[in-house]
Amino acid sequence: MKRKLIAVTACATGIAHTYMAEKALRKAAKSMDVLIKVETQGATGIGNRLNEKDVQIGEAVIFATDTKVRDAERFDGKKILDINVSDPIKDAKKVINDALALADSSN
Amino acid sequence: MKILELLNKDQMSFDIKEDDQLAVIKDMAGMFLKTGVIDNVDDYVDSVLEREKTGTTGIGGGIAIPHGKSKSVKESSVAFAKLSKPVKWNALDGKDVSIIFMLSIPAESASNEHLKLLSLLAQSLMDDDVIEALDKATTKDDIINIFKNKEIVEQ
Repeated sequence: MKRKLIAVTACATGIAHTYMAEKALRKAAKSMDVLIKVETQGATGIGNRLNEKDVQIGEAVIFATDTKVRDAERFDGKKILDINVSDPIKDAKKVINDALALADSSN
Repeated sequence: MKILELLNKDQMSFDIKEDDQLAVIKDMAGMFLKTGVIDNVDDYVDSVLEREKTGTTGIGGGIAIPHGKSKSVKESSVAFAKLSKPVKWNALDGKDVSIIFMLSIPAESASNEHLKLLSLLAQSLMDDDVIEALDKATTKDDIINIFKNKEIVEQ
């Protein structure tokens, strides 16, 4: 079975990094055969919103954000990898691996 | 809508020769001033530098995507420059920058469509084929051709 991650990306201006991080995460996940759904919280609104089912299925949540995550209470109780929006742009594979490791951790 | 609609040859340059990031940003802001995208260079440049302080826009591979949101911006747009002499940008991978897409974002809510196009442009800079083509590009037409077929695809 494929591993499953979810992520939220957001940056200060909400125009560039939010979407570059999204793209980087998707690209890396695809190459690693990991399923990922990425919600973008940008200047033009929320894209690809994570619903209750997504949150349930995701083994871990990646917050790649430089701003406060909107509706963060949706992820209460989930394992959250809290990083900067630029981290996936720099090395998305590492981010995916870190999130998988977090999902596998016992606490 | 297409990225092509954002691109304006009067806002592209292969001739900028400056020693540092600030001078390059100012030169590119000058292109915006000429085309009427902004009405005040200093104010716009300040907003770009403010944004740069919150985290580098040097995304690696010699590419940077500085952006400023300010009341002096009259329309959302993009300026492009390819430098013959790379400049320091505190980039994510530490490499000097030679390919720059500088975005202008109005302080007041502009057309969402244009902002989405700017996001799409930023996103396309994560594509290996786009990066490769940018590296090879030597003319304004080369730049236009790279983005000719990039459209907004609703998910």
